[in-house]
Amino acid sequence: MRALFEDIVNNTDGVEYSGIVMSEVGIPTDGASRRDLWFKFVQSDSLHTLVEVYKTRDMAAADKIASAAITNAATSQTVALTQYLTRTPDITGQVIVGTFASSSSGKAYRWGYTAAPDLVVCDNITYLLQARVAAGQSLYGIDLEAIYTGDETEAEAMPLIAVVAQPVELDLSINAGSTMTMVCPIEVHVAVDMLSTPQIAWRTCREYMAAVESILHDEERRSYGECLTLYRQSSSGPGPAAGKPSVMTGIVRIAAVFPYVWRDDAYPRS
Amino acid sequence: MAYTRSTTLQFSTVKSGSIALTGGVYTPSLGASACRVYRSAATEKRAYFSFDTSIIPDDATILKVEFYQKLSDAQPVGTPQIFGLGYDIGQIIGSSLDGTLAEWSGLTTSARVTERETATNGAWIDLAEVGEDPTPWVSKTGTTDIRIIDTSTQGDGDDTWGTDFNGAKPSEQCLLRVTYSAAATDSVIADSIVTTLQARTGDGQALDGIESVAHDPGSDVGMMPSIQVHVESFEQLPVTEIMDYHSRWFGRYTVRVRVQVSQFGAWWRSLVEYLAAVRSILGDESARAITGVMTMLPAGGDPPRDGVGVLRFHADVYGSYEEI
Repeated sequence: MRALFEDIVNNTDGVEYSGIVMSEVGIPTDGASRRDLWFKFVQSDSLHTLVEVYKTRDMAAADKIASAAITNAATSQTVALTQYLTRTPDITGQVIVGTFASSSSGKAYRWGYTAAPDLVVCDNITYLLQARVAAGQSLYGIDLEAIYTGDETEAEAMPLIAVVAQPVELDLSINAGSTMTMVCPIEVHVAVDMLSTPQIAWRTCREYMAAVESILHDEERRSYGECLTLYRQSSSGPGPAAGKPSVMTGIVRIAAVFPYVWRDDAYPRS
Repeated sequence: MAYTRSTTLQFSTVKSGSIALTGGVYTPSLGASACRVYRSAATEKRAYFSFDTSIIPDDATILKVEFYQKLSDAQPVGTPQIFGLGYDIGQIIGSSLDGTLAEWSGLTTSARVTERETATNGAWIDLAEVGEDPTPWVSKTGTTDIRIIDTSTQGDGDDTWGTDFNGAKPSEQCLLRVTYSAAATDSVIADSIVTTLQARTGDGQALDGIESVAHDPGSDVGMMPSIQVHVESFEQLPVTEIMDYHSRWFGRYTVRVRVQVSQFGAWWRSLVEYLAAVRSILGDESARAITGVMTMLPAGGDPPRDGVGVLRFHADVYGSYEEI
């Protein structure tokens, strides 16, 4: 039950690359080594591409657990992964399937395979919002560090914008054997303190909410490469936060849709 | 009431492979791509598959044993006049596939259960369709091995021939499916869920960092991050009568899995990551490995709050009435 997608934001230049398209991560049914994986493709020479496999999205060197050399081809092929040193988990036996054509020298293209794609959406939303805090921009007045992925209780300053995911919804009704659709409800919480008058706090919170909605649903609506669509669900507030009378808060709700998520228990898969 | 279920198992690549007999010398080869049978004037090879069947409850009654046979895309050149494969099942392989005489031909702890005249590809073979009953040879405490022997007659066929098993993808490999019945209780299901989650807490695995996986109540919540498993309710589904399955009953357990992390520092991300891993393990990757359960379906949960997240699953079971 993991979504497989091109991690466009982390590609070189942040652009989609159609020459490398993963279609499947093949995993043994014994399953002990199943976990989230992140892939980085780079050209090794004019005929070959090197794929490196990491445990985390930031692709820290210590998280590299496997690699493989791929002979570039315009047709689908299956590539066996090889354990890197003695790093764990040993994912020997896992394969990747896809079309791996020649890429540009020096460019890195990345793919994600994760059970928590909602976190990817949250992080990408956080990046989009953090880019709007400079003077004169729509979220001016909010510290960069006060826009983050996580719960409001982790906040240290206000005004803040916290991006959180609610429990994932799985659409099994269109299940065609081994795929499903994963819908990830995302909430963007805006909170300002009411050290000034409640009216000003209400207006400030409402302005930030409007800016967030405009950025996510309009200005940057083409920025979500990790999911097929991201659509507006609802919003609520501004109003006093429950249990925190000195805080004015509002919530913008959106949903990210990941279609064709593999079900890993459906074997033989192909 | 007893439930009935099937469990599908993958062979161990480090104990499976083939043994070649050449000039009286037995030589083992290990790995999925080494699983093959082969015949020539000088050499014969036999294929071996080792399955860990200890997941089957000790009190289970084995009802059916099937082998999913998948062949390699590339096959050896040559055909005999009369093709044949024989299937043995039991405790055949020692602590490792060493190439001993017992592994080659021993039948004291195994039996020939099936013979086929075609090389089935991509289909399940009922190992009871010809020959001895395979069910007594399935171990409920250890491993169960399959040995495949080429029983062809060369006649006026080619000088050499063979059959290579397993494709390149993990999904293209041979499997064993065992159907059994056993007593159905919520503790059996909860035990299996706890065991399944505990198996993923190793270094680098999806639940790496989890300190405690246990039943709730009774778990040590002082150890965090922790997971507590609790079977909340059971409902017998009325569909039994509607669908005219008078001899069967269908039921649904609701299972709650609670994940708790320390609230020191930024806790939300790690909690969501653990919840996603649990949802994927129980609702998908290992759904068929949960003892006693036919299907495990994610059934929502509660939003993460104060370092605690809750997931719910529907665990569907079915069984047969003892008195009809």
